[in-house]
Amino acid sequence: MPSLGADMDAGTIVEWRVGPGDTVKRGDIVAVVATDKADIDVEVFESGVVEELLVPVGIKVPVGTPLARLGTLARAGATAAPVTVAAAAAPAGHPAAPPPAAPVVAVGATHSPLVRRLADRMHVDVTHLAGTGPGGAVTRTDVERAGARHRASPRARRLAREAGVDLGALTGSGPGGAVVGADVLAARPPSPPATGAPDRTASMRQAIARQMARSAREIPHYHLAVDVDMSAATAWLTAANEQRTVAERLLPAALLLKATALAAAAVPGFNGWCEDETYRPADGVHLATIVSLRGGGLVAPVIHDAAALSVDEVMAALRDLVQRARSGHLRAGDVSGASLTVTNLGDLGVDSVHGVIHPPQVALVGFGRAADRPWVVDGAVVARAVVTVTLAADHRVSDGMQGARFLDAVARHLQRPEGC
Amino acid sequence: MDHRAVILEVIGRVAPDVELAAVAPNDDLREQLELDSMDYLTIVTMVCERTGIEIPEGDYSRIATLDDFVAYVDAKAA
Repeated sequence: MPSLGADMDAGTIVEWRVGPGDTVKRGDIVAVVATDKADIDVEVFESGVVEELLVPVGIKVPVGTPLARLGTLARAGATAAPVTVAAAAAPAGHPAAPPPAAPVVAVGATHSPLVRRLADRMHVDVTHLAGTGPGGAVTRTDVERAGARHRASPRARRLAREAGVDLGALTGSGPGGAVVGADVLAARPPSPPATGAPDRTASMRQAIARQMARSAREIPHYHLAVDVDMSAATAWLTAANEQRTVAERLLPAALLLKATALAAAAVPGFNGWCEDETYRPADGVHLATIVSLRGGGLVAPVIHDAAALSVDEVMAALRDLVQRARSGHLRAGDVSGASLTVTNLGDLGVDSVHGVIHPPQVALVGFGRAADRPWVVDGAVVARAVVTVTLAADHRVSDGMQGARFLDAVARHLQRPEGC
Repeated sequence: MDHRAVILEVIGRVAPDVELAAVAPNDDLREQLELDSMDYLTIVTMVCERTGIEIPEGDYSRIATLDDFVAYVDAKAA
């Protein structure tokens, strides 16, 4: 079970997209995992053949629990060495998430062709057997014993796999005491709700409550704000969008995120994680952006390495993440590794937001709406689109002076949008 | 092409929880459906893709309600 965000300690498989025997490629979506906040598509980070699903649908397991066993793609009949495969989790290089690698252990199949043929005939899965032969090899006797214990029809085996029923525990009603499909169906546990448990709103509320209470308890916040004249940024966006088709159009949010990422890369102390009173700066700026869900609650998908992206790339990433967040198709990498969070409440009409930091991060940047306000230019009062940018920061890591430099850097980038 | 049906279908995709039959034709779409700027841009993008028209950013004020949106697309696609 991969860690899908710093606040996650357990998850539930709501769907397996693969089954035993399926070949998977690195990056394939193999399962859908429900956290308290959302259903997340989980990718596999190694290629191979699925040998066994270890956690059935509907069971909640702690982060770090192996979910499945993968075999490496060895030549048929060859002896494959046992391999440990990293599970789908946060991409490497984003140490924010707690130990992400829920190992999927691949076992080697050590058995002769003769044994394999016998196993096929008796419908015994040799990958599940503990061998008693030399070097742990599965012998003919092992297979025969297992076959006698687990005499079951192919349909019964398939149903048992799907339902997570242990065949060995069943009494067969078929010929010679073989377990048949009906036996498995009778033993099947009541099926859990298919997806997104109905109490998702409540569980999301609880998850947010836990994280925010921890923040208030552990992080000595300080808050700064600055008003920024957005006329240069707005003019630049309008001109840029005139040249573009609607599919390529930029939103102000893309510029705000990019300006924040550049400031975080330049001014130290706001981009990283504080755990056990120790601050660890992040390698890149992995910007989480708060997406409010219409049913209530929020998710915070991550734009990785945002400072290294162009405004267009930030916009494309944002579009993609928001759409997938709304449709329930965020992937594991989308929700892990955040080193700084941005909240943009401008659309809701608020002037400013004094945020709560998401631990173990050390800062949160907030944008209110860009509204026309009186602004002094060259000694005269004029109407300008002004946005209030706020910083909530961790006083264990930074001081107000640094915070002021950070906000000043954001403001300067917004004055020169062409450089963003 | 029935542009009202196209627009409603797109709204349904972007905001799946909206009851389309209840959309008030003369109320501001963003306000009544609680669409943020990203939702709105996605709706405009998908309507453009499906109808083959372009909607410049400066025209957003002319497509604020469902009836206005339909009339705008009807005129542009004609």
